[in-house]
Amino acid sequence: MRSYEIQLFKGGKWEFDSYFDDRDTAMSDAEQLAADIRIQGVRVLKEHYDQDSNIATCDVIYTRRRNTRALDQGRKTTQKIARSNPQPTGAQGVPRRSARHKQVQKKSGSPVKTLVVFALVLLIGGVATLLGLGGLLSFS
Amino acid sequence: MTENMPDGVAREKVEDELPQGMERRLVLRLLTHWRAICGDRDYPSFSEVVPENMPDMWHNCFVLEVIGHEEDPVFRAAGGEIMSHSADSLIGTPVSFWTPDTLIGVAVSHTRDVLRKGVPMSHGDEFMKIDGTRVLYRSILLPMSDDGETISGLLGAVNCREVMED
Repeated sequence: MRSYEIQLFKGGKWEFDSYFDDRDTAMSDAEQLAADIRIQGVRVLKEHYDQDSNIATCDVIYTRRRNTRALDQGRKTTQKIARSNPQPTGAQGVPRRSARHKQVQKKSGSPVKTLVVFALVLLIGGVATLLGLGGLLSFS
Repeated sequence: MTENMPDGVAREKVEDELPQGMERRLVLRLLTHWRAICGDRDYPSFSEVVPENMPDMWHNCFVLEVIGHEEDPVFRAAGGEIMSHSADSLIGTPVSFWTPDTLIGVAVSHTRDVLRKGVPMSHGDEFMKIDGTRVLYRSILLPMSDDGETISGLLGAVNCREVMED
């Protein structure tokens, strides 16, 4: 004897919903339930009862679970985007790509400093050379 | 399938009477309706079953009263199609009155299982009428409650198709 049991996932556990003795009807009903966004999960259990041995076996033949975690994350991402878009000029509204671009611009200022330092070194070196040459001339 | 049809008469399939996209199986339509009026509760109330709100189903439906008849529920109401399958008066009779060679008898054959498990149950099979006609049927029994906790009755439905033997 076979029966098909539909279970719904409610409040973190599977609960009995309905029984069918026909696979097609049970599967149609399960798919209809799975399409309902209010339902967290649906599964169909096929139960086979052998009257001779008095043994019942049960197999899950269909399972659909709504990924609520992914849905929540998706909702959070949407909220972030929605928050950043209305303030494009504000501090929070500056996209990361612009911030990165700003950092690159800051880094581009350092070669000027290097040139200034290099010029100073040349200047000091030049002055030292002149002083050295002056010393040699006075010695001779 | 136009043989033996008078001129100008077209055969209309029963399915064609239903709107496009509607579930063809009566038991699934009634189960969906039951879930809709049930909401988050375990059982809906009989006061929420309005025949006018289910014109495509009510003629195949019946109501069994359980309170006061726990061992042998009795028929309290039925649609026209169900009435047409009972030569005797249906209303007021207990389920045990109906034998398994009648459509009503097979429709209520799982009454005890539904009362024990407390969830909707659908069954389909075939039976031989007393005149030897083979009948395919599919039925459903749905628990109802007036206080939301105790099952006070069952809403049922059944439809069938006679199989012509060659």
